Amino acid sequence: MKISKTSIFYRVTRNAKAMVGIIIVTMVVLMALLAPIIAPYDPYEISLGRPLESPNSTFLFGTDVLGRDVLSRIIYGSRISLIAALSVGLISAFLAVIFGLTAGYIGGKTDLIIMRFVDIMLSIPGIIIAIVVAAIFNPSLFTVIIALSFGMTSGFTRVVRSKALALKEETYVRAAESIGESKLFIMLRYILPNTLGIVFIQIALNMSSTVIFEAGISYLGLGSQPPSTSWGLMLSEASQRLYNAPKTFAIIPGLFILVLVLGLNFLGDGLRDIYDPRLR
Amino acid sequence: MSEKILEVENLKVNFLLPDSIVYAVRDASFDLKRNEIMGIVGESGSGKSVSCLSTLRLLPKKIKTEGKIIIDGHNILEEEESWVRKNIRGKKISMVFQDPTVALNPIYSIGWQMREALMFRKEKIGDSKKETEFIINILDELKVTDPEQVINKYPHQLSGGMKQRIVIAIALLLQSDILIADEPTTSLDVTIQHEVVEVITRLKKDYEMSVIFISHDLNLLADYCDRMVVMYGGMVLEKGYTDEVYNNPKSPYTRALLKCIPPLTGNKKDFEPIPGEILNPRKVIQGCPFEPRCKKRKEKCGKEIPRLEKTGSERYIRCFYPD
Repeated sequence: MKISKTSIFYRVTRNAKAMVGIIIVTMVVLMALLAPIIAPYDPYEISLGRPLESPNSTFLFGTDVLGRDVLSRIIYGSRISLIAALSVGLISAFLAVIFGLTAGYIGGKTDLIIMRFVDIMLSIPGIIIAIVVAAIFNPSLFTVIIALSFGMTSGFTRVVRSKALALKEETYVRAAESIGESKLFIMLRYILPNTLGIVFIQIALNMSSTVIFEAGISYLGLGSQPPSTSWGLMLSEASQRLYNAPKTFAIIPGLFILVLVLGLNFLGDGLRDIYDPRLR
Repeated sequence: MSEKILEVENLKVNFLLPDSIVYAVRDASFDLKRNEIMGIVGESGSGKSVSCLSTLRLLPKKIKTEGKIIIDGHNILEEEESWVRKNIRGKKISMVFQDPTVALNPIYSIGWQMREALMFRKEKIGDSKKETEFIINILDELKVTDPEQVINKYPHQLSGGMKQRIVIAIALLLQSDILIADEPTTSLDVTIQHEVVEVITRLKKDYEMSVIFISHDLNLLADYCDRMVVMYGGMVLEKGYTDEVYNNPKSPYTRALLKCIPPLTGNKKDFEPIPGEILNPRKVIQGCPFEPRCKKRKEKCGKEIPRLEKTGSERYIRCFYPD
């Protein structure tokens, strides 16, 4: 089968970064989807073994302070990270595309109003938003997703807007205007499809930031609450008993967070390498 | 005498920048008759493109316009943009831009883009099969080889000449009354240039479209246009029937332009570039725009702006001391 040299498939498979990213993310996604099948024990069941056991043949990653199997909790924890990443990624993409395209292409007062909102949002640190949201609603994964979506949308909107501004000046956009196409039509058929490249890249990068932030916010107690299997929460539990617990107890959740974030970052970077230079 | 379908009267276009004003068009008047090809010739910055873009109201918002552009009894400059979009763009007037490599959307196939243009035609075709037939017919007419293959291709897979033909095909299938071709051959090889111009002249013959052909190439225009308009510094300096303007230019600018075309054969002594620089569009002028560079300039030329005067049938000159 002849694969065109310029096809996306060809370029992706030749880019090592993107491939590594895809492999890692796929493995984590499989882990999340097949959790009920591959997890050896129920992640919530306590007193399965003695508390804080080191990794052994019964419990491959050992047990936590309540005797729960760490491996099963890690496996189910991938769901939390992925749900957070996907939700924030998609919500922020949806909002950023709407605001960014409108601000960039329509311009004028609309642009000014939207960008002032964005500026206000960008000036508030994510943690503060998380704290406020957690204070208003009871802390949970849901509040984390709200807070992070808020935070990620603003930077994303800026990126989309600048691409829309550049596209507005392209001759083929003016040609479309010259035959009588309406602004909405042009936005949807010309501007939007040409921004999808950077949108996908930004989604991947936002997703990787979300995984880290979710872990961090849950670590601080402002996000997922016990008995949730969030990796960040597991890190928090481990940090409180660093001297008593086996070394693996703190390292394992941290390692998984690291690998997933690395995978998503590689994916995002790889996509960026693939997309820009060669298409031009 | 055929009727006028477009009249531009004393058009002025100023671009309002934050710290200065650009006088893109200082005073342009010309008209287009039914079924004629009219050439607008001028150097960069002469205001030829901006004048034509104004007929479609395709200019940015921060501008000030004066004068009238009349089509079908309506003054385009006074109408709402949505009216212009619905009635003029693609319907009365369509435009072919200079660089065909960027005039087509890179992510959609040719067929897709042509079908999209059909949506903005005055009379819709409706039936999808008939649409494809129509598109292939038009491509055939424009001597595009293998049109059935071409409609599935993407712009980057085609040559410049081919792309320009497709852009013209899109303008054609809109069947507007007027086509404005803004330097359609400037970015093409010389051998392709003539082919493209042949295609455009057929538009007048076979489709009864009127064409405004903008170029900086006087010789090219002289071969194909019925009438010519010579612009410089945002003003029309001379206009009239092509053979008169080309063979008997009365404006010193037109004469100078003709002299600075390097001759391939014959008398090389006649070749003489125009001294000086193009008029800065930010400069406010008191007299003739060409005065600083004109060999025949006298004191009056710098102090008073000459008016466009009629000197014959369709013949107008803007000069105090025409040849």
